[in-house]
Amino acid sequence: MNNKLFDTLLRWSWVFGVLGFLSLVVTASLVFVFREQTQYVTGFGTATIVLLIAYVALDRERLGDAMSSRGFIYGSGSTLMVIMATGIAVFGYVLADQHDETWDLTQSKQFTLSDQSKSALDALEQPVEILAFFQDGSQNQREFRDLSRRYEDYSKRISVRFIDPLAKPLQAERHKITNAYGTVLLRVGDDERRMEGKFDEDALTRELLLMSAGAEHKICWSLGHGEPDPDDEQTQRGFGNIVLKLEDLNYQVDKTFVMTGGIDRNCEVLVVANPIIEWFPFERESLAAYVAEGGQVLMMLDVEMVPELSEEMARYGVQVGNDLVLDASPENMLSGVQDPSMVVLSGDNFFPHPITKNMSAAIVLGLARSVGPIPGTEGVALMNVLETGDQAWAETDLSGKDGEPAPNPGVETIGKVPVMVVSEVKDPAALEVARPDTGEEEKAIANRVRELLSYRYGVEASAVKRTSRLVEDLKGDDDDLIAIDEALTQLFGVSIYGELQEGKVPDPPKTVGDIIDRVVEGKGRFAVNTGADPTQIDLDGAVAKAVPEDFAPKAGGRIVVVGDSDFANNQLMKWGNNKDLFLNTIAWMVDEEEQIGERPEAGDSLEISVLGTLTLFLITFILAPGASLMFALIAVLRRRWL
Amino acid sequence: MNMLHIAWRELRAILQSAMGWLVLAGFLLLTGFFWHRMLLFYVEQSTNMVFNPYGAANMNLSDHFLVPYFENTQIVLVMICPALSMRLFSEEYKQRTMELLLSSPISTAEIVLGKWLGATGFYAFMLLCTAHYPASLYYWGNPEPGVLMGGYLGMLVMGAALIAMGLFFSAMTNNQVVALVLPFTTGLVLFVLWWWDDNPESIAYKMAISTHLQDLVRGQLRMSDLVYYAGFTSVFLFAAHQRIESLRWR
Repeated sequence: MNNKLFDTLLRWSWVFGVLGFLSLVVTASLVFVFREQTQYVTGFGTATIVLLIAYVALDRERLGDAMSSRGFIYGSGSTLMVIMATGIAVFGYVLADQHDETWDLTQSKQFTLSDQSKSALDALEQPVEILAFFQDGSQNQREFRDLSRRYEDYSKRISVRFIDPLAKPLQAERHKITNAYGTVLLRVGDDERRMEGKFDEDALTRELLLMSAGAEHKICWSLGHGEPDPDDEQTQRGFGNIVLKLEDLNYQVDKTFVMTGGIDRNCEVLVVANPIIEWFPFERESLAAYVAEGGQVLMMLDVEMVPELSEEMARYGVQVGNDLVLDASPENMLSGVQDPSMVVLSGDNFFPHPITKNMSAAIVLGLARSVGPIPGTEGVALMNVLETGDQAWAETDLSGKDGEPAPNPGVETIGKVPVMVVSEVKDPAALEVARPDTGEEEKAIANRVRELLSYRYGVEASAVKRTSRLVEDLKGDDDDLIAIDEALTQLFGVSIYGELQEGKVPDPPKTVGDIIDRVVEGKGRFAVNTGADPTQIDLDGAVAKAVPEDFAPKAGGRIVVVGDSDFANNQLMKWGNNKDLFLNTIAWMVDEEEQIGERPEAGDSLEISVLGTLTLFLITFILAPGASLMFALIAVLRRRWL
Repeated sequence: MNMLHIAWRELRAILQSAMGWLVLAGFLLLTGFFWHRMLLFYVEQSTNMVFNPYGAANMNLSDHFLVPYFENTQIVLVMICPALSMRLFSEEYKQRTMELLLSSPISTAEIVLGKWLGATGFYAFMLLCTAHYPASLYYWGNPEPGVLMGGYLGMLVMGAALIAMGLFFSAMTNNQVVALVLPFTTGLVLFVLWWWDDNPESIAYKMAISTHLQDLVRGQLRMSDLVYYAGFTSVFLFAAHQRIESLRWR
């Protein structure tokens, strides 16, 4: 009986082997899934051992014969060698992973620190400790580890520590870490800055700059002359995005209405971006006084706009042309746009200047006018910054009466048309700053109101009389309140439409003369309550403030004039080095030259014509595979013939 | 030298067979499909983005076209490379020329390396046949050459590794279908292994064959990634060598 049982077991011993192997697979799978010892793992593991031992014990003779065979000895030797080779390969990989080296193959050196980052690191005066709170193994951790390693390799003043907030909750709580996606703290002494949301090179460099920059810089953005809104981040004309970039770099950007408030001496830079309404004479005097006292101005003037203000630039030795720069050469035209008025400037067109240093990409100007130095201007030092290529010209026929635009030798500037000039005041007396005459301002305001209303109602300016009634005589629509409000908004940057509608303005003007008188007579006449403070337009006060009582001229004021403002607007800011041109100009004017550099950002648009699409389809789907199929057919036929 | 002769013989055999050209046609169709559709999609997106300053600033050929293209093409390699490697040894078994080969005065290492080089050489030729893709991109746009270089290098090393794996399976069986299915399945498992655990520090992530291309196709060459593919290729070539060597003493 026992022999019978034993024989049966021996005959079916292979079942134990198979079951033992399956049990082994199940055990390994459970370990892989659960990653810890559970009762199932223990159970199946024990079953594996028991089954395999039973198999070996029952079938030991056959196993012994098999294991002593030449095949088994050589086979197990081979298997062992393959396992060892695998082990060596794994070991090699682990070593390489722990002491990894990287090489940046990209032309834009995307994985290499940018010049701006290097400048920021060079500017560090004290060691910076970076605490990076990321979950172990997260993508953000991996990317930030790669990035921070480059900073550590470049500067000994940077040290980085990675902390998993889940593994070390006490440390996370101490530093008030709550963001699930990661937080980076930068510490210098007691000063601490926090990064959340974005952890790329741009963000880290910005934080380092802010740590070393110290005081904030105040930038005043001029409004009240129809300029695009610096808060507008949505429309193409707005400047919201470039203002955001300024604020990221610790610049405080304030709106300023020169007409009513003058130019604050605390403004480190006054930005004038695309005014479309003329500056009054007293405003221009205010500008001259500001520059004569060492102020910095970035003046961006677009084609055909503000001719009087453009002529005023001659005071600073800058000639602003009444023209349009065109460049029809293919290499200087924007790929896919084919518009000669969108001028592309690249390395050869940059003069050596701190503003343009380290710029390698192009600058794209949309509808630019020429801006050049007036040689021999006394009291100022002039320097070109940008000029066009040899085939560009400054077209003076803006009405198109001469037909297709073409260079006109002897009349128009052809080749190397300057578009950006820096004027630095060496002798402020040369600007001849004088106190404005209120009488002149009154005339200017009267003319301005007439111009605005003639534009508003589509009538000749000469038809706009002081006695003209807004609706009946100028054939306006029913809503004369809008006309009044527009005039005020354009002139003063103040809108009181709501108050006019609600009748809060006592005795609102009915004629053009009423508006002029109210504005000219100034103080209190348009007083309305807009919440806490009444809005008053005080012309006398504004004129008086144009040149300060304690006017103290000194050398060093600068005015940078550019013949285009579109390069910095929301639409074109992203192209090439456009953003850098604006930011570098500001940085240079406030003496933050370590901020100057090419910032890591890119954007490529692609356009393919219909013919191109068809060609692509033809080559991709017909020609290339077709040629291969043809060779396959040749191979088949060749075999048959042979 | 023997190794190169065998490589050349193998390459010539593939070029003279319809199979090789059919594999090439399939490869060009698949990769061409990806290229064509993704390029036109990018053109459409970039045209629309002109009116979205924020989107336009972030739109670039590398991140939004080239990298996704190379990442998608990896799955094509998982399908194509086993087709190139399946007949390397299986054909020898089937034609009963293995004994002849083993009895020749050529070492096993030279045989294995030669066959691998031959198949990889044809694969490199296949990659060369896609040269019109980057050429068209240079005509219409301004691609980052480093990303193109990294992408093609990545495809080359990954393909070479998959061919080495396929060569091993081909050495294990005389059935070409088995020699096709096994490396395809294994390649697919290794391709998606990182889905199990997407933690970059996990074993599954590091073992997966696709994760080691992520930096390379962006233009960043890592030593660890190259070591991975070199190790992967070496292990399977060594295993194939051991398998063929075992035939000598069976």
